[in-house]
Amino acid sequence: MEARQRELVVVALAVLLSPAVSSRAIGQDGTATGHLTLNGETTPLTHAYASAQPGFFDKAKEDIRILLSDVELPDSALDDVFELIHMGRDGKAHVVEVVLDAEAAPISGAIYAKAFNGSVSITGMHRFAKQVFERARVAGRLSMDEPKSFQGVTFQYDATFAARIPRPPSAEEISAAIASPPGVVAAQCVDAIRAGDLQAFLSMLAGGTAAAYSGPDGATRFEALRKETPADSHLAGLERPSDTTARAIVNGTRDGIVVEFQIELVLDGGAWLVVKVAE
Amino acid sequence: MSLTRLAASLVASLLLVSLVAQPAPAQTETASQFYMRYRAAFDKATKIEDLTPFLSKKSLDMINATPAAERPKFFEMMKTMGSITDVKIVKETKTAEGAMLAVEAVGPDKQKTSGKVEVVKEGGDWKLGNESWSS
Repeated sequence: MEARQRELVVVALAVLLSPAVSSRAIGQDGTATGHLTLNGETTPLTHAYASAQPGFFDKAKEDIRILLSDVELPDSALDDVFELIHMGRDGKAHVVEVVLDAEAAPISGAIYAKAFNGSVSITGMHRFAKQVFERARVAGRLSMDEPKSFQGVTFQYDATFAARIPRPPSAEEISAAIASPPGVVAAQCVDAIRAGDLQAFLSMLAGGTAAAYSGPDGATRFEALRKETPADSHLAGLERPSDTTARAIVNGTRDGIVVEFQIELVLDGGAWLVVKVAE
Repeated sequence: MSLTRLAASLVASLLLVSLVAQPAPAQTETASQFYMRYRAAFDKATKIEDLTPFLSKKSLDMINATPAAERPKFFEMMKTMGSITDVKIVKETKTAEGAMLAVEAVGPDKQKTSGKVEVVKEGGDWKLGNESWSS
């Protein structure tokens, strides 16, 4: 009886934990966990890419194209089917492609692999278990219910994945980024430059950068930076390459010319610090 | 490298600027101001040596690799291919090496053209790097 209770507890814990396990399995953006099997030969799928394109059936809507690959794909291959075919034919990549419509339903797909002499278009067997289907991100599980055969090749795939959908930021996203902690520090940095306030400027710099603006030449260097910075300079955007780095885009005008430069920041000890200001 | 190709790759480099005789550029000169100074020099230049003070080391190396006897011909090609007017800089983007300029102009064919001009800092001075133009 006691053993039976332990078993039930284990089962209950497994059920309770399953969403967390599933969520963790989705992994980081740009990654996949799963496999593609061709004639019994299994290849791990490790990389995931997503992109938006005009809807195939309805141009007013968007389709989302997903690529799952066993190798990192060059940027040039992401939107060049012929390059994918060549990579597949040459045995340089195994890629599963699935196109989702605006309702996250698979509408077409392909496999790029040597077994298909480059590629094969396959439709009607894709399954997408959605976990995230947002404007800038898609994640979930892509799979087939059972193996299928075509051109003498038996194939099946199954993988969880997560990928960002590259898009220019919306006005709301830009505003939110500028108002974020690194955005606030970057804006204060711009204010300090415009005001010629070296001490305020120094207080925002990381150690090595602060050293470059200190000492006998520091004030001269800062003054040169101030003179080069248009008086109307302001934060126009902020990118976050990672959780601990940020890149602020600063725009201003001088003599009718838009002058743009970047401020790079890092999260250090809980505080955002400036590590580089384009001069 | 053929003269035509060399000229094409340097055209922009030499396109503009000014004067060997001019005083050294002030330290506060912006990349855009440097480029406009170069454009003025390019229009006045009568020999390639008039433009070499504006060129990056990479461009100078290309010129120096050309036999001295061929340089006048090369310069003429540059002048022909690089003669643009109504030059207007619309954007100056700071880069790790210096700045990238977005420029609009009217090309030798009298058609509107847009270009990307690389201006680099070498030894504290602005120098002209690569240029690419498209109509």
